[in-house]
Amino acid sequence: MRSKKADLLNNVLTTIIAVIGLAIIFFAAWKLYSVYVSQDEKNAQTIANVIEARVNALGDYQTGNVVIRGLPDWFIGGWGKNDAPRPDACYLKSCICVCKGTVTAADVKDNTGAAARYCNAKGYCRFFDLDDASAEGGMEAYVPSTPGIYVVGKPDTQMSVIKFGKTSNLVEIVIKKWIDSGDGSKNVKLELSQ
Amino acid sequence: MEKKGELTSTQIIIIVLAIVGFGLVAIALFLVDFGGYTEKDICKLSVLSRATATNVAGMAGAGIPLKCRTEKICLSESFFGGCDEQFAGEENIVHVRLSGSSSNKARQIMEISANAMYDCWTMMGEGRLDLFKDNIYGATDATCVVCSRVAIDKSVGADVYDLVNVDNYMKNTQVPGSQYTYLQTFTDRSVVAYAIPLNDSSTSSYKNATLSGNQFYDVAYVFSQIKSSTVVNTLKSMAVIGGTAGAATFMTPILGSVAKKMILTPAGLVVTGVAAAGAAGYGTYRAIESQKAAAGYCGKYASGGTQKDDGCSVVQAVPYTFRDVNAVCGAIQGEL
Repeated sequence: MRSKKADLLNNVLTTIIAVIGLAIIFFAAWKLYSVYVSQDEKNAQTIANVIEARVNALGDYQTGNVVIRGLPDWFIGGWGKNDAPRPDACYLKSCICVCKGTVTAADVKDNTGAAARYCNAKGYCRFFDLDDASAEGGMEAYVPSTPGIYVVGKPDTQMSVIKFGKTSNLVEIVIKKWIDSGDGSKNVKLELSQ
Repeated sequence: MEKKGELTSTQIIIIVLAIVGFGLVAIALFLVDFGGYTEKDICKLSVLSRATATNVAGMAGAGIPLKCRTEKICLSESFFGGCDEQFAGEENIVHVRLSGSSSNKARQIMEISANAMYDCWTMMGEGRLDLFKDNIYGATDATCVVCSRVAIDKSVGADVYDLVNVDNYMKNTQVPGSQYTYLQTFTDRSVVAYAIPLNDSSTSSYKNATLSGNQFYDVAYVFSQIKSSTVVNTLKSMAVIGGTAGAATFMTPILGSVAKKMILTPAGLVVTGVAAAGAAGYGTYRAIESQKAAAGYCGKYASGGTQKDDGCSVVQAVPYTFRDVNAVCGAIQGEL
């Protein structure tokens, strides 16, 4: 008759081997995934990480810049904590997202929520403890159907984007942080360099 | 008599085999994760796959993504971290600590820079593979891959910068594991000296440029490729004039600093002096001054199938600013 200790030892060994085996399989699967995952998605994640790091590194009233690679058919969107509609991933915080989609000037002007929808479908968002976050540049001019004054971007439309267009070249984004002297709100703004 | 709970020889063998087996797999996976070789191998494999796709299947090779990720190297004097200004928020940074005297630190910078250029050249098929098949023949813009970025932390002093001369290093130093110098490897093995630089019209104005703006040493090693008979003829002529060339390969000290646009426009010998236009700090200024050499190949691609499949490929050091890199590249592929 086998002892309980021997049975326990066998079970423990089997369990340990199984756990290690599964860990290795998951690790290998993750490695394969990371090799074959879309380069655009990797670049988008990198852009989001780099912007987050630079924004956090800046003090109030400081300006910095970041060089990134343009991603054709992707954009950078900025939402303040009171802006709506906003990507679900932003919850109740100000956020900057790198998202896949083609936002038009009309979308921004009319605040159609297209950018938020694109970000919900595929996007990488980063939160900030700030009152407002905005991103401006690369957007084509809005052509109104009727004459009038149109503002494409914040504050009127509650959303703003940097559009990469079709370029896959490097682009420089200037990051400005400041505190509004009027209401004391903390802001960050991303602007595409020309 | 067998004791209760005692391990049998079979169990011991299984445990030992399991540990050894898991250890081997773990080591293999660890190497996949952190080994520089494997990242480069994946890139090289994707380069070969793309270049040979047309020949094999008659399909557009451009559909095969280049799995090349920009290698980020930070050279610093500290044990931990560094290059925050250049690489903040970026991942997979290789930190190299410079040690010893100033000349020793300079030698390490030159060694890493020369290797970065060499690795880029070999990884991309030494310019003999048509990597961007969708590019229109005669187009004025080159398509690029940023193979690596070499950044130097602000802790490294000017005394080290002043001793850096990558061009001289490549002329006098053998490639590891080879009997040839970098210069010979980039050309046809018989070349032992650089060509006499052509009239570098923009150098003086570049030197006089205000040393402001980007103060940090951040140099990209960029592989660029263009298809244009005009460019091919221009560069071949230039190589003959300069003399630092063998067959279709060349290495010239003029391309790096001045003629970025020259190799990319069908206008050919028009020196645009792109570098002179940009304001640069001490770091980028030194980067350019110490690395004027560019290695290139012009001619018919080994992977080409039609009469017009010829072009030029160049690998060169470019300050990592959007203006400088965009002056070289019309489009960028790979992962930054």
